[in-house]
This record gives sequence, structure tokens and C-alpha cells, in this order.
Amino acid sequence: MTDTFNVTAAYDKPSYSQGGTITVTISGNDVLTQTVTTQQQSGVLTLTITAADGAVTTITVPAATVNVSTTTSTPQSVKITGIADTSGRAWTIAANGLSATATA
Amino acid sequence: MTVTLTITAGDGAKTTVALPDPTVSGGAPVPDVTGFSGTNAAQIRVDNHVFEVENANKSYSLTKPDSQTLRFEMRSGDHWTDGTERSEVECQTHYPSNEAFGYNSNTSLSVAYDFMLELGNLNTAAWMIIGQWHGGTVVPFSFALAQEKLQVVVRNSAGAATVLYTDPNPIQRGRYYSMAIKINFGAKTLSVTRDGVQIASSSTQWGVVGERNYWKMGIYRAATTNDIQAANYRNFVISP
Repeated sequence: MTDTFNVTAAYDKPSYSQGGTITVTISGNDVLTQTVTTQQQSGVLTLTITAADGAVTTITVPAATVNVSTTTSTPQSVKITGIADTSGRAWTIAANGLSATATA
Repeated sequence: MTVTLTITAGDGAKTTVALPDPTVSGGAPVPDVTGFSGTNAAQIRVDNHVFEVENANKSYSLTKPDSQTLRFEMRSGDHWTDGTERSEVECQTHYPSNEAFGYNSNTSLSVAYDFMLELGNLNTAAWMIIGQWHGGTVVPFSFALAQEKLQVVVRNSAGAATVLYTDPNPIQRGRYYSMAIKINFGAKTLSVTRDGVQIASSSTQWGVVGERNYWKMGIYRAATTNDIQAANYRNFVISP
């Protein structure tokens, strides 16, 4: 099982005035990839063999175990769950987790 | 500096996304002054607000030393059209936009800027205004320079003045001060800070109840003789 994040984050403005509100939003998702391998039994094979002179016989191939791999990709919703700001600014994460705001 | 977001997916998987520190200007957009003209009656923009130029139409009356600064120079005898010694700009805001000129009285107003009075002769004017909230009939708030001392002056509906603050020391010429005024005439709130320190506050009704107000800045003074003053306003912001 692997998670591939395709998430970008961006500010809502190129610059802010002191005291203004900074908003950062995220977009994209996480794709969860899962590969499941199952084992299945093949059926018994019966081969009919015919010689050049017309003689016929049969060969029986017993059942075998076959590994079957199934890969599924499932998009996962994403949320902001934490923000670390080296400037010390305090951030508030929106209820839906898709944006956060701070005072410039 | 960076801002690092922790992103969590629905299945609990986590990753991080780092952003550069957001660009924050010193309280004013860059450029702060746009569409500049020093000509009397011209309209310019400061902090994206329209201001009208009011001066004696001299080449030095209003200049823009850089994108963030307006420089007002006043020489004795420089009269605006009303005959006063004035070099100012007047905010042309209608707020809300579909209402009459000026801000309605129940608006929480905020003005901030850096102010510097240039080196020169001592102020000789009987009175001198260096920034004011102007109402329809009275000036409910102003910064005054009494000789060389900064004052915060408020006026009631009859125009009677109350000096809320007088600096015990002369203004330091050539030095920028960080000024900030927060006022709501309807709610009777006022706070004035200089360099982050509150120098005046009030919870009294100033001006005329319900009267609209607009900001003016520059130099406006009583008639003088041989008196030259120059004031610089930098990184001006006004809200709303």
C-alpha cells in the first residue's frame, strides 16, 4: 500500500500589508495504491495427443495454483492538520481543513 | 523563514508542504503612491484610495521622493484657493461606495503612517495642522504642532477644542515617527499611538453626531512670514 500525495499549497495574494489576513489553501489529493494478490486454482487440463500414424492418447495436467495480482488506486481527501511557521505567526485552520489563515 | 503545512489524507497518511514566508510590506502596499501629480486639484492614489491635491501649485508644494512617500512643502504666502497656507491631500472616499462623500460616523477608521518633519526653521505659525479627520462642519480630530510640540486635538460639535495630548518634548526633526490613529466617531472610541506607544485615547463624542468625516494630511497653518516647513508622510495606509 502506497500513498502518493498530489497536493499543492498557495497563498491567496502575492503580498500582504501588515495587519492583513494571510490565507493559504491546499488543493489536490492523495492517491492510495493497493495491490492485492490472490491465489486461484486452475482447472485440470486434458490434452489429446495424436501421432503421425493417427494413434491418439490423452495426457492429463493436474490443477495448479495461480497467483493473481489486482492493483487499485483510490483518491483520498486531504486536510491541513498542522502548520509550523518559523516566523512565529499563529495560524488558524479552517473547519474543512482546506485553508488556514494568519495575520500578516 | 518558511511555513510548513502538515497534510493528512483520509487514510491517515501524512506529508508536508513547505511554502516560503509570505511577503508582508510595512503596513502599506508597494507602491503606496500611484498616479502621482503635485498639481493643485489633481487626483492621486495613496494606499489605493483617491486623494485630491490642495496646494498653491508650486513645484515644491507636493512631491513624491519615492514610491512610498509624499513630501509637502509650505512656504509663507503659499495660498490654496481658499486663501489659507495649505499643502494637503484630501481623501475622496465615499463609504459605503454608494453613499455620500466621506466615511459615515459609525465606521471604525484606521490610519497609519510614518511622519517626519524635516530640519529647518522652528515653527512660527500661530497654529499648524499636520493631519486631520475633517467633518462637515468641524474638525473632530487633528494633529497639531504647537510651536515645536506635537499635540492631539479633538473638537466637539460646537468646534470647541480639547487638547488630549501635548508632547513634553519638541518634535525631533529629521526623524520618522510611526503614527497610528484608530477612531470611531459614532462609537466614541479613539486611540492614538506613536512608535507603538499610546499617547491619547478617548471615549467621548467628538464632532457632530452623524456627520461624515474624511482624512486630510500635509501642512495647513495660520499665515506666517519667512517660515518654510516640509513634512514627509511615508507608508500611509487607511482603512476601510
